[in-house]
Amino acid sequence: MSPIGDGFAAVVAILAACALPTQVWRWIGVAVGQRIDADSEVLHWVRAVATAIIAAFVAKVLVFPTASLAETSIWLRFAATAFAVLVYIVTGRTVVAGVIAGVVALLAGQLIFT
Amino acid sequence: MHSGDEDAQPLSGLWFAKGLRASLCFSVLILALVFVAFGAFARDLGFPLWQVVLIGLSTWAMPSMVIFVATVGQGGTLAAAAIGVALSAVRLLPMTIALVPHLNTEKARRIWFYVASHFIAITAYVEAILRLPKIPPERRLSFFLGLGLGLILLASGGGVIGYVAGGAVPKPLAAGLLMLMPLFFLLSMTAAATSISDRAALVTGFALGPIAHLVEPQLDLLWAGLIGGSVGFAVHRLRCRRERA
Repeated sequence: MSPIGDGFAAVVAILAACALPTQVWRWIGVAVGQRIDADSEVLHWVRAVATAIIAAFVAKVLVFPTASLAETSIWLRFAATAFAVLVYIVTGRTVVAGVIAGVVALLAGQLIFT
Repeated sequence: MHSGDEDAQPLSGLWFAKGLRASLCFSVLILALVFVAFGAFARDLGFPLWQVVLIGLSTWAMPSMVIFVATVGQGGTLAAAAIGVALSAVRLLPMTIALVPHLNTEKARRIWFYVASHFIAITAYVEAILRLPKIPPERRLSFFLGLGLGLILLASGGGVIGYVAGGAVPKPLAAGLLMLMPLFFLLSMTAAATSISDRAALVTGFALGPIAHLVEPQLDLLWAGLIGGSVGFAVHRLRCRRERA
């Protein structure tokens, strides 16, 4: 049995308590964004805020992880991240290579230290 | 500035198709794997498959989806879930405001910008920031609509697989899956941060994320973003002033 019931009531629950509280921010963003010029100073600031939010999200996941990532040590997670950044730089700024290297480092570290 | 729909042009089918094709990229693979994990998680909490798919398609923001499913799945009220979702989704506001002026170069009917905003989440934002400069300005909205639709459909497919396969992923591998997303965001944002303000914001936001979480766990990302972004902007202003002097 689903925690939100079945049929029409479940659809309403999903739309009202999950989709709508998310979409509202996007709709406000469109209304505001259409009044802003692409090379204005305000946009520089908004873009920096968006960038900082994503960086903060990454750091939060690394320091306070959830589920099975929480069972790895914080040092291993940061070592894997440092390795990912290193491979990214060495391979001439290749995102794919860095990400794969970081995940492999984490998996290898788990095998070695447990 | 967009005053109305009177000068609106039809969307470009060709660039929409190019956007669709561009969604077949490394980031959609990561996203699909994250959706695999979500599908398995929601199944464990008792949600049927159609509800998992509806949550993914209608919301399309992983933190909102996890908060909703975890809150009501563990006996919380719908109101509590809605508040948690709304607080975590504030981060989409600066992302949308930052992206829309880059799409606004295509003169399309206004409704299409609201449709496009549905696809805005961290992955689509990062992909758009990296790819849009290479797309003709008057075709960027068509391209982004294709890109977003492709991402959402492919990732939702991952959710279905995760649901059906549920719990078949061994634990050490699951930790690797969860590590994919932060690493991908970190490196692609580093690649996308070409201005001095973005670079300074990236470093400051990274340092502030965990601290903000300890101080204010509900609005942590927003606070870290506002402070980190303002520091980045201040660095940019200082440099502008020094260059003029």
